[in-house]
Amino acid sequence: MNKQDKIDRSTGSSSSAFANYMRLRIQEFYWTVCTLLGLKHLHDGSKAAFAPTAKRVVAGGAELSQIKAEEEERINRLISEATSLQLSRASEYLRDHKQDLILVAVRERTTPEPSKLPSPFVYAMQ
Amino acid sequence: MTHLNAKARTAVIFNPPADIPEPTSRQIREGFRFHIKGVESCTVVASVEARSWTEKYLPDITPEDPIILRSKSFDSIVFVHPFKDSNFYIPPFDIKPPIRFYALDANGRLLPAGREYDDQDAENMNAHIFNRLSKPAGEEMYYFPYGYLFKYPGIGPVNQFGFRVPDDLSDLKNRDSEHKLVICYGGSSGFSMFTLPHQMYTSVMERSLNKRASEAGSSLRFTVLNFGQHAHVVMNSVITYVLFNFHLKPDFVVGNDGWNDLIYGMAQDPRLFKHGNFAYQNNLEGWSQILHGTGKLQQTQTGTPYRAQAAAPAVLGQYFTRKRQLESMVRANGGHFVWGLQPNSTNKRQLHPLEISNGETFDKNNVHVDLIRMAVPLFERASEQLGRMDVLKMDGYKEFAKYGEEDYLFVDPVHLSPDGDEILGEKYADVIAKLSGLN
Repeated sequence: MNKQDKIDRSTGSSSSAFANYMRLRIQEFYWTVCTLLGLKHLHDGSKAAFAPTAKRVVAGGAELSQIKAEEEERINRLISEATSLQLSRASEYLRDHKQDLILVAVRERTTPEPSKLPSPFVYAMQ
Repeated sequence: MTHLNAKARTAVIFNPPADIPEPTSRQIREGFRFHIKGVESCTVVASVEARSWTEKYLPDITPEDPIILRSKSFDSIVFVHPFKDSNFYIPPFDIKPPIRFYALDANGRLLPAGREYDDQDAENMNAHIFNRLSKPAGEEMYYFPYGYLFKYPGIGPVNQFGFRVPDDLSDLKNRDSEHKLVICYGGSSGFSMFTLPHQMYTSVMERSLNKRASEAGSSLRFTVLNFGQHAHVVMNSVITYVLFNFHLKPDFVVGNDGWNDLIYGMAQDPRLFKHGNFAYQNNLEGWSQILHGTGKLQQTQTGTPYRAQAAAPAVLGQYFTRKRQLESMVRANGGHFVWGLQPNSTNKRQLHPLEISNGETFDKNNVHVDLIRMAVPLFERASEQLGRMDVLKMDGYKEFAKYGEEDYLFVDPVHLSPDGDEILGEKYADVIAKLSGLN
């Protein structure tokens, strides 16, 4: 049984919930690798999950391809940093999940800016 | 708390919408009876259109025609106002000021109407310096050296720290061995924010345990205290136990929690799991910005709806680790700890029509909506993990899964209706009764 099967059965959840779960795992791994390599300009842990240095745009067509290319280059740079530092498991993981990472980063950059936060004194859970 | 002055000549105006649901009608009736208790002069007013409602839900009361508002003087007027988008009944003539206006909402809560909260609404606000230095506002968090305090007026008395318990608990310290003290923790759902005092799950527990003891011919008697508070995570329960409850040596402690640790945990800076293993309310990052004038720096969340920042294992790990810590403290202090996992509607077999419509409103307005969707597998995993643990437990998440569309148990995805609190209270009472030899 592979890991994916195991998690899916134990949660009994829908495939979208499983995708969300995996996205979280990838986010955390990405953050960890960035921290390990000192690449905080890629992700400093205090900002929205991916590509915080780039401004969000509502993109389409050629613009979307450009963003995708930039993110691919970013991940390639991360892989080569990991390889040069002989972090073999990190570089292997990044290579294996390269397309996922690019996909999530592109989505992050092409989502419209979120609205303002509520008052810090308000209980916002109701 | 917001309350009616016993000496004030009070009029309560009923004009409920024609399609008001049955559970809401029942709760309005409960709220009416609770808030007018002790008011010496109360006149019920209802238009002709509202008479069928008053005859059904308040059969022992003969309402007056609205014209009485012109001929008779009142100090306070309460408008029954079940829905935010419905209008007050406005009589077709001027009402002579000065009159204090209130609204009674769908949850039986009394709120100021057409005016701000003021000193007369506040209770205990001069009890200590941190209350005095806060605003006389409605519901909000305010500064306290150990975490925060929360105001939630209008649903029953609270003590000077905002908990739904009496101020003076000193009698409980030297109680005899037959007198068992149960203290319950949790967040807003533990606070029972949509129930009146007699409907809280802790009140249900207390009545149930004392009834069982009486029926069994036992000399045991139980006092159950609610130390739940809005937004509390387990770490806040640990602090509350140390600050307010440790010296009372409670015989039983119930941790009715889970939701806040998982949802706030997903929203927070994940580094604080790695280097501290604690969850916190992410809005408190805004307090830091205010204190230090760093509003230009980003918080972990940059906008709404909130996005997940931390991974599932770290979030779940924090919850169970802190709960184990609280359990250790309780046991070292001579008490039993009941691991509760609070219910939420994501696991209910089928939703009541009112739960569906409330849920749709919640989804439109709530900043946590995406996190809640993502947290469903975490609730499942928490429930499974609790099931495997050899501890005293009550899995509300699993217990509430059996209820269907005929049961209105949730006002929103996590906060219980009075009927939900009734079930929850009995479930916890089952665990404590068994341990006390009452089953």
